[in-house]
Amino acid sequence: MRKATSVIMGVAGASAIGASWAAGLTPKHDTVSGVTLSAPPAAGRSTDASTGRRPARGPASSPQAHERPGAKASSAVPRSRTVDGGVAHTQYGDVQVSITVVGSRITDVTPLHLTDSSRHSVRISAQAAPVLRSEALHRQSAQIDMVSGATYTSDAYRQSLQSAIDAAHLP
Amino acid sequence: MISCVSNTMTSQRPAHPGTSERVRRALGRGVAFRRRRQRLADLLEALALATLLAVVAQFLVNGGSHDLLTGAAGDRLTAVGRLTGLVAMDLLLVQLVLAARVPWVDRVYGLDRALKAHRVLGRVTVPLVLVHVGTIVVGAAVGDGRTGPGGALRELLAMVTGGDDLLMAAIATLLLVVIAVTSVQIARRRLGYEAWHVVHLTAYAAVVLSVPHELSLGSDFTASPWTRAYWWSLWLLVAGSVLLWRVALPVVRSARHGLRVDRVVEESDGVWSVVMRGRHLDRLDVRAGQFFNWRFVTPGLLLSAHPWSLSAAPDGRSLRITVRGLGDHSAAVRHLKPGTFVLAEGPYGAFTTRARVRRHVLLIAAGIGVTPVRALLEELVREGHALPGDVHVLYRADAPDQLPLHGELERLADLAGHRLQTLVGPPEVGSLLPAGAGGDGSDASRLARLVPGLAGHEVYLCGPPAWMSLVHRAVQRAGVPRTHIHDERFGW
Repeated sequence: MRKATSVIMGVAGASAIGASWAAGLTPKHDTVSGVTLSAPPAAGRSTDASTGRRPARGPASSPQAHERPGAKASSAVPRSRTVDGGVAHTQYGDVQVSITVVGSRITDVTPLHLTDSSRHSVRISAQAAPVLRSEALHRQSAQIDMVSGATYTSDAYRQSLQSAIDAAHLP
Repeated sequence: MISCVSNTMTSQRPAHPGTSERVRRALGRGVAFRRRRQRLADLLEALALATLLAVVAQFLVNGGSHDLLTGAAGDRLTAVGRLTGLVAMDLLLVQLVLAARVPWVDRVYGLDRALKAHRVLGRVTVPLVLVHVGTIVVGAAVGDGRTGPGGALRELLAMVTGGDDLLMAAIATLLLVVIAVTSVQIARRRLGYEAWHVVHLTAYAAVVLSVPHELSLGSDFTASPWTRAYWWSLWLLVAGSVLLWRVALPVVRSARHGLRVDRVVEESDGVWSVVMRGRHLDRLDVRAGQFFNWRFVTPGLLLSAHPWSLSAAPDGRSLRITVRGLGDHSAAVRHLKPGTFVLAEGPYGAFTTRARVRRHVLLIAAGIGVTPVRALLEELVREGHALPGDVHVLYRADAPDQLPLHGELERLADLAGHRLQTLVGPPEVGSLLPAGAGGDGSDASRLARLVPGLAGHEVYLCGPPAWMSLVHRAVQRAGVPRTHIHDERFGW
């Protein structure tokens, strides 16, 4: 290689590596997209079972929260709501969960999307999801233990779960 | 080199006053060839480097630097494993290209240097693969809470048997290790070229077997449609190069030219020439100084290809090689029957006059290394590319009866008024010359006495590797710049 070419390649290479090193230091999986941005519009999913009309916008039915079809609108039986969490990005794919809330209690966590960058990621997240779900139901919060071997999935799951809990205004 | 460029290309006056038009044009073509070759070399090296940079940059952007710097222990190890795996894959592909007989690579570096780069890269690639496997396994073991050597072993077992194409990857790793072990010099001497070559060809299987786990597990290969497209195009490009130039072209050429043995002639004690004829040989782009990998369709010679140089300048009707009966196969050449079919891969090699930019030429050969030198001299004489007296031939041998093709060299030198000198005598330790030749002093000064104006020559040398190193050093000390020293080195 001639000197000029080596110098050009050296400078270009060093700056490319330097830039990607800096870019990689703050990976995408550290951030959760805002709940209101990433969650599907409430209009698509929320219906009021008892009236068949869309529920009035209010604190109890935020854009992400909606009543589950079939839930009885009665004062004796607390209403069941489903709240979608935000999308947490990881290098192995996106993670998003939705929670089902009855009163102030989380009764179910459903994954809407799990890490899926490869067949291996799919398998890892499929193994981790039930563990994370039962942890979340048991603790009734996002303060759940990581599943070993599924660090990224667990981390993103907690973040999405936390954002769903926040959106549902749970204590 | 620079002065030659300005003389031959930009000025109206003749490059070398007193040189004939034919010589001037030949030297001008040399200048143009060197410029093209330099550009192509830069391009090829920049491309190879760019693939490596792209792979590393992609890994870092994808969170690699974060994992390496701040991740948990398991994540850090896994990150090291990912990086080494990516780099190893890229280097393996570069290695395949280097060995794929790509015409541009051969033209720029010569097959010998391309294969040397291939070997050097191999010494990096295989250890990288082992580091990749080790860190991935231990990283996963740490992540899963399995500690100690037993934990790593259990993790390895779980991975290999757990699907995900890791069994194939494990086989690929084993193949690469076997290839590396057989390629270590000592092992190769014990093993013999043919067995080594068969083992080495499994490298293709190793690369193919390693691809599935990259796609199913390696998120770095599938992180985005761009990376996916990048890797697929690399794989297809390399596979295409191998199939086209390593497989298809030799088959097509052999079928087209239909080479057959015409006659076998004894040149001197134990040295035999094979003359071959075929169709359309005038349309084969081959130069004096090049070689083919030869296979003769006869028991014992079909399965292994041998790199033998042409010992006569190609004349468009026949090709000739000259072989000394050293190995079993070389000895078997003498029994070839006329009419035997010949499969030839080639021509290969950059040991030609294409890059010659100097009027004066020194051809220096030892032993059977005379064969390409003999072809080069014939080309210079026949094409009128050198003025009388401008070519100096030195021919080194241990004994007077070990000078095959000497008569031919003599006739060619006489015909064009060139100088031919034999250097006969038993080998001297640390010297390329026999005792007494060129007087006293270092090899460089003795050689300069034998060849007046040595520093201004274009030098072509061929002989045993150790002897060539001595010549290289002496000629450089005598003032010949590296770019004007041409040789070809084969380790086997």
